[in-house]
Amino acid sequence: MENEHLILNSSELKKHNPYKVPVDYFDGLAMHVLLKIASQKSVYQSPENYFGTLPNQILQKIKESNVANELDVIAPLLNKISKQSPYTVPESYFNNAQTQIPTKVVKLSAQKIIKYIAAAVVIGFIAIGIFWLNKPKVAKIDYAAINKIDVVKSMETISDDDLLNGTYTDNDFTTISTTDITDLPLANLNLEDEIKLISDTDIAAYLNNNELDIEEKENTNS
Amino acid sequence: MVNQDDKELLMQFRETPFKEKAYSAIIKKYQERLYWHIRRMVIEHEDANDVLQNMFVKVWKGLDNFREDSQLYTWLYRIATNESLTFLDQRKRRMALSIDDEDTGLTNQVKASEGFDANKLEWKLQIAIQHLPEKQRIVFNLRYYDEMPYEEMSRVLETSEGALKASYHHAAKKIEDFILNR
Repeated sequence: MENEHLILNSSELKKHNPYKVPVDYFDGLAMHVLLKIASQKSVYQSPENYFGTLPNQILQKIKESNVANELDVIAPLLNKISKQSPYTVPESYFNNAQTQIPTKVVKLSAQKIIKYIAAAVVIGFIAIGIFWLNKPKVAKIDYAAINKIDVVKSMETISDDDLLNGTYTDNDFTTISTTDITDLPLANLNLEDEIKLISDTDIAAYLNNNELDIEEKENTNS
Repeated sequence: MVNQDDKELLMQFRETPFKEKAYSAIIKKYQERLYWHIRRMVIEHEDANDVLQNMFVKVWKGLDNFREDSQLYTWLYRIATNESLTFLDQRKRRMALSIDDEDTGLTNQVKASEGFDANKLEWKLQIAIQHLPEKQRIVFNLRYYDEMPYEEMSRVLETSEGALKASYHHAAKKIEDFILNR
């Protein structure tokens, strides 16, 4: 520590700056500073955003001259015609055009809804069609053939046992070939009048006979 | 790549609370250019309005999927062109028109336009444009009116720059010839 103090105070140590400066730096410094101030304090003003739009303006001019030059070679007459469109547009169309577009979007939504409804209707028709196609088929009753059955004649050919046991077949009923059922005398009968002609004792006897038969049948079956 | 303004609008569009506001700004920015592009193809204002609105509705639905590897307006022009062509095609089918009939129909629509004057050069130019084949008509309109560079037009119409230059050359020649000789 004592040795260091001695060295710093030594008259032998020169006050020499170790850093270097460019040649003639201080001769030119004042001029450089003034030039810098001058460049920052221009008396001229450029329009606002001039440099922002300048590249586009220049490109536009280049483009225009290109198209014009090109036409000068191909069809010079076209360079003499005004490029102003002769077509007219409704007044303030472009001010309203923006507001019209959302309306159109709404319109499209309505169209979409109609499309969905139409699709639902089509699907409905298809579903109904499938249902009808797959519906279990009910045998068609041939009323014309039934009308032609000679019931009275057929009943005569079937025994009481067959009737009670249900062992007769449809073939046991023969169809009338030439006469219609409406031609038969039975068809023209007035039932009320006919019933009055039958005595009560006959009816009682018929019922008794039939009841007996049925009971007998039930006894034999058991 | 999408320019900075469009990039910001697209970012806002993807954020639900700003979606409508951002879309409104997109419409405002491009509506006139697209309207005139469509109008020159379909001629009547009502038809142009329908096509323009339909295309903006489609853009609304598809904008989330826009990949931003091309300019937004290039993409919009492509949709507008396709929508206009679809509209013309549907009308052709609806009215069972042949290509020649359709061209005559468009010419008649021009002649029926408000303020039509057969002696004025700008109207003669419109009639001449309607006599061009469909593709040449689109190329001519995009180059002559919209001053679209061939490079961008190539992306809009998915056609090579060389083919587009040739198309434009033929179209301009035919139009000049039509105006001078009829």
